[in-house]
Amino acid sequence: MEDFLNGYFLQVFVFICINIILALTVYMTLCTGQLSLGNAGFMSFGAYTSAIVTMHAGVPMPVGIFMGGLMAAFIALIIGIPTTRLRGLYLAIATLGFGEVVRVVALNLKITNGALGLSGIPSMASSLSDYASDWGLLDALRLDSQTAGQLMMCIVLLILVILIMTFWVRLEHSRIGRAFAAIKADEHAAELSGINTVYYKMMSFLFSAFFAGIAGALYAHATFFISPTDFSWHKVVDMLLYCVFGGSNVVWGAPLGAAILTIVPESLRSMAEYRDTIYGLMLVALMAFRPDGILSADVMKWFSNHHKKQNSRTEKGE
Amino acid sequence: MLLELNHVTKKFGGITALSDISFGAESGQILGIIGPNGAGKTTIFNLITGVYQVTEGDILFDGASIENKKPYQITQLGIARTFQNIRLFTNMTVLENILVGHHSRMHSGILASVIHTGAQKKEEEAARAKSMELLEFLGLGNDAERMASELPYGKQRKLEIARAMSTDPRLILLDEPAAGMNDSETEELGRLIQGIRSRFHMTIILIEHDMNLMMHLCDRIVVVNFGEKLAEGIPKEIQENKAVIEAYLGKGDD
Repeated sequence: MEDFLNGYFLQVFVFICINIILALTVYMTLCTGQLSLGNAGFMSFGAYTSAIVTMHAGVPMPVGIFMGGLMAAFIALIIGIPTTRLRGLYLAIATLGFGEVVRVVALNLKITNGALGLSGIPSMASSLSDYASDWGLLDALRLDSQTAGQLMMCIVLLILVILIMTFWVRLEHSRIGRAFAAIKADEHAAELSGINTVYYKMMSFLFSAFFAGIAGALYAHATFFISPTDFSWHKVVDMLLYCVFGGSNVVWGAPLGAAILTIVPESLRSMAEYRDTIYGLMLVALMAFRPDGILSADVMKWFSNHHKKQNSRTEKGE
Repeated sequence: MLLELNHVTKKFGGITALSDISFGAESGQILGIIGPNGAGKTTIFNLITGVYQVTEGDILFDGASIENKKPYQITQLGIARTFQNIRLFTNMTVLENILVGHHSRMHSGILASVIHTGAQKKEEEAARAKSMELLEFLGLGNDAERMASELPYGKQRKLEIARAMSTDPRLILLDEPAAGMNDSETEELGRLIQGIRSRFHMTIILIEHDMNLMMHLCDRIVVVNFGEKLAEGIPKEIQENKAVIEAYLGKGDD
């Protein structure tokens, strides 16, 4: 237990959670067939907004994080008006361009402190450990304040991930989710079936940006330091990989892909020089053998059938 | 008149796809549109459903112009259609395809959908029951949980019709529903279309090349050739119309 609760493992877990949220944001736009690559841009809006309002305006951290999400969604609303009319690669290029514009702007603004980045961002872990010591949890669990803070942050992030997943799964199983899926399958047929395609594409785009903003804000409070290079197109490629690796057609693909692709590079740290090669080979192998990602619709169907069978067996008392 | 086209002209750049087309469909009618390939039949459907905007003239649905209305708004007004080349949502089950059709008649918003409020559950159940009823009517009742892409061709055609019907339209436009069907399937389709009218009280406009089917099924027929209306009348009149026979046998072409 003591070994497991070391700072390194907890830190990796924090990044897994943040990456899961980021992978989900890519999945959210893919739900309506939109390949949006602007999520690093939205992430940086969330990160900088929350960092600045908590540092300079003394806004409480949860409010700051929420504001980060709102800010990202607001920006998405503005750029979404032209971009949700674009399709396929054109949307990808336009949003990728947006992300780069945001990065370059952040690089040159005073309030973002340019290339030096912002440091001394309030730490989520330490503010959580303050709560913990107020409640007397530290003594009860016999943890030092740093470990307790990180542990609590892991729990908070895990809950957040579960909430976002639940939110999206439930949305998918409603008339809104069906509208998303219809647009993904055939936008023209969806529109002629009575679906306001622009509205629903915008909705998925806004949700995606909002949660990317939240993830960015969480990232800022987890690392206490952000600079424009944290939100380059590399980040977008990472998010996209998480989503595609896990299976971009099912919601469970995003968390699976994010978890695997966060853990693998970490576990390969000992063989530093081969790390990128192994990582790359893994991606190539997956695309060769399972082009739809690890989890596809067929796999999910098999799971649910299996589950149903087991349930009926237990009902029969077998 | 439920639907009225008044002197409709559609130009794509310099090309006139339709010129001065006028006809109408009475409520409860089955109206056929025939004509050689490329005559502009599907363009008429695209104008009625708002995919294209008319260049000149106007289209009235239930007395009101549909000008500048988006396709989804026109569907909400009560016009549904099928496609010549089948366009099902292949990533969904048969039942889900039908439920998508119900979309514009349902009201649950984001919050209700996520919380699964009582009203939302009720709405979902009602939509499911109605969808199943529709699938039974079309003989797809046992296929509800299958993926749309797994259906054989004939059933995919039917599913398209079912999806259009699920938007609860007053007017339904069928674009070559019998394409690729054999004689017995076509016959069954004919009965089905009559059933749509008698049981669901929908007005039907259909484009079809199968003359046998059209002559039996339609109350009136409009003949289109090279973007112009060649003739209009009851099937018997059309069969005897010289211009129509010429257009079909190709006399005018040589």
